[in-house]
Amino acid sequence: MAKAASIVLVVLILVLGTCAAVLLLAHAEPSTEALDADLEKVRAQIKAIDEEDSKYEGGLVKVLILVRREILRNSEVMLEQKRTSFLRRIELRYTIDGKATKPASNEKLKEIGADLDKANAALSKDLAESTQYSGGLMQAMALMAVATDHVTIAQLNLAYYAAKYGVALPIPPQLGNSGTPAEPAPGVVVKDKDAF
Amino acid sequence: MRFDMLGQGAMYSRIILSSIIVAAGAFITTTLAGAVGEEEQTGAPLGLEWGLSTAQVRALGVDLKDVPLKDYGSSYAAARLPKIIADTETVLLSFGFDDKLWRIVMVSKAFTNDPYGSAVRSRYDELSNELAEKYGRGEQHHQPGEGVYAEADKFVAALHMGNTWYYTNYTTNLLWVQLSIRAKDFSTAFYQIIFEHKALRSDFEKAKKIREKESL
Repeated sequence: MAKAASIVLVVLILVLGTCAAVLLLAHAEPSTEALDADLEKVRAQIKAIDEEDSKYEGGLVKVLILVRREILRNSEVMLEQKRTSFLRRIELRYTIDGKATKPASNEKLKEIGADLDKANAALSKDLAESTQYSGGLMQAMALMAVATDHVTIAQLNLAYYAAKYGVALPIPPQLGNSGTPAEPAPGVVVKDKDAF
Repeated sequence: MRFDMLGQGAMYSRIILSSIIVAAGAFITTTLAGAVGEEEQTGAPLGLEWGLSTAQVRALGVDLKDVPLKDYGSSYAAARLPKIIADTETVLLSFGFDDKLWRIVMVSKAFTNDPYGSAVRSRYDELSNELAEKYGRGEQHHQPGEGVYAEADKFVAALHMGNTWYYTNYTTNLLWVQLSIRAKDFSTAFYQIIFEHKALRSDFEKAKKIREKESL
């Protein structure tokens, strides 16, 4: 009798374990390992930026560095949010303009990846150019180009992670197209002298 | 004698012919001058005409929206005007008590983030030349800022605080025109052009005085 009860218990544990595994697997795409790996990359970049930031006291290059850091912080927060939602079993659903967002297809990810490759190539080129100057306006311009490339890459990374994990990035109305057209000119535009 | 008579006849013919040519020339010149004068009197900027009623302006396809500005009769913000210059944001049309268009004000878009006023001054110079070409040399009133406002980067701030002014007046027999730079805050400026028909303004002022007397 005790033996039979033990068998039933083992079977029950196996059944429940299988169900739990199925449930976990159903929500395991993407895996927390993948998220952790991406988070680690983003955090490493933020750390590198902080070090770079300390080299500058002001100017446009510093501004671009700060912009890049904010974009990467966005990526970090987004990935953290996604990771926490997995652990807490919270399903995140974003609906923008009535359409639910979902992880992008591999093709879309490849497109963003191709853009990232181009941006990285531009960065390498600009980095190489910046080393040719030891100071002055030319070096400042070259460093600005490098900082701009970094911002582009950070933006593309943000877009990549958002697409990969299906996280929506709502754009504030003042930054994007608010849907309302600009105030039209109050008439037919002509040359100055023709209007007078 | 016959020769003399023929000579006299030819001479009279020449005199008559010359008189006809001179008279015709005078007639054509007078007619053309009259036409130009008439156009100058009625032709207003932006494809409008002085003295038009609100109904007539609307008939040109112009949208008129009432604005709470009572110092100049009935004033309207106009849209869909036949002509406008590129950076104009607002046009105000004012009609006298007799419902005749006598004042046009063009206000430009804001030139932002420019405490020096470089962009708006550059545009002011362009417009100043265009207006001088059309209405003759203007009378400039460019008062430099004083004290802290004398610095170049305080130009717009000085305008905003009333510490300086920057405008040019153009006067013809028919019109009074003023081009000016004004400020919204310490780093945002805009230009404004006022066109006034002198005779119609005079009519408006007279009617206004009569109304004021009657209301006492």
